[in-house]
Amino acid sequence: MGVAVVVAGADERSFAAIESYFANMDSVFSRFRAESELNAVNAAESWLVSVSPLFADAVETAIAAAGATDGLVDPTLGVAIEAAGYDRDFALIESDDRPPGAAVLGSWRTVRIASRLLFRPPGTRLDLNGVVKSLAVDEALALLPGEGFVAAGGDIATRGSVAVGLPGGGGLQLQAGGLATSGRTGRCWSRGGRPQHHLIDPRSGRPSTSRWLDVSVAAESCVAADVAAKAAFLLSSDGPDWLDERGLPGRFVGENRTVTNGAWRAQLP
Amino acid sequence: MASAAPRIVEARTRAATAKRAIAVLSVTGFLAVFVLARAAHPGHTTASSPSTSNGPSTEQGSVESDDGFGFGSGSIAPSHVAPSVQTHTS
Repeated sequence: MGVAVVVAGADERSFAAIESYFANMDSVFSRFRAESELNAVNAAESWLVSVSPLFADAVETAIAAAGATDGLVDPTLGVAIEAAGYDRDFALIESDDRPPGAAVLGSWRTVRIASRLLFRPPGTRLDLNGVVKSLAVDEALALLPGEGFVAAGGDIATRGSVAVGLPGGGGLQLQAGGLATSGRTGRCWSRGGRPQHHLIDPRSGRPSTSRWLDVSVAAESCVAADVAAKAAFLLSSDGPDWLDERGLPGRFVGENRTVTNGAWRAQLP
Repeated sequence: MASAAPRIVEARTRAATAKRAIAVLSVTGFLAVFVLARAAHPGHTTASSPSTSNGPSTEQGSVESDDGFGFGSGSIAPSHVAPSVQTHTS
């Protein structure tokens, strides 16, 4: 997945299982491996495609996440993110003068999964990275024999309390569940002089113009925190209230200041 | 000419029957796909991350969408020790 994975509380057996699990997730869901199942599905010209159980589970979660966020976290933005210039491994992306490609809106409602049958219009390019990394963190945590945590690319799931450092400084104790940060500072580049990043707003089909740099959210699981952080980021000024309506603590780092929502302040006075 | 009319009527009848059959098959097929899709909708699936569901949960925090995606509640507290791990944008 192109990110470092940190594990605490693993014995030799569970560590090996976690290592294998992440490697398998990468081989199935990578956009940059020609032989990945994701690329095979995206290349299929039929409306119905048979997929692996692992793939089907990820699609189910992605569709559920889209529904829970009114489509903000959309799994059908593969074409849009490629149009923005993220069409190869991030380490290989260089800013250049070419303008970004045409905007492509999200279309998650056209995607259905029935058991192992995936139904979507041909030409749809799924990008499941909105949920796959954090899903993997949650599943990896389940492989630990006791208390511990798993972190991948800044997304964390824990069983037992763990001290977590926050973007820009400061920290907290994550007592249970997950914590994730989404934003535009990690993966950014430019096209035609315009800044681009990997968080596409499905309403515009372009990289989000959110006022925030990073949004960190704690939730019951890592995937829930990740999805909520992405939605809150995309909602820009409405993000803090959106999280409060769901009882989720959120911390928003802006250009000039950092703000927290009510749920955050209630737990971290 | 006189014998052509009954054949035309028969042909029209056969065509109409065929059209009705196609319509019935189309509707049946659509309903089958619709039912399959509904049955597999994420709202009917099991939670994907049972390992992290043992955290404290408040009534407010147990919001679950119509699609079955539960955010649960985050459980955080002040920390007075050096971080063991860092959250950041990847």
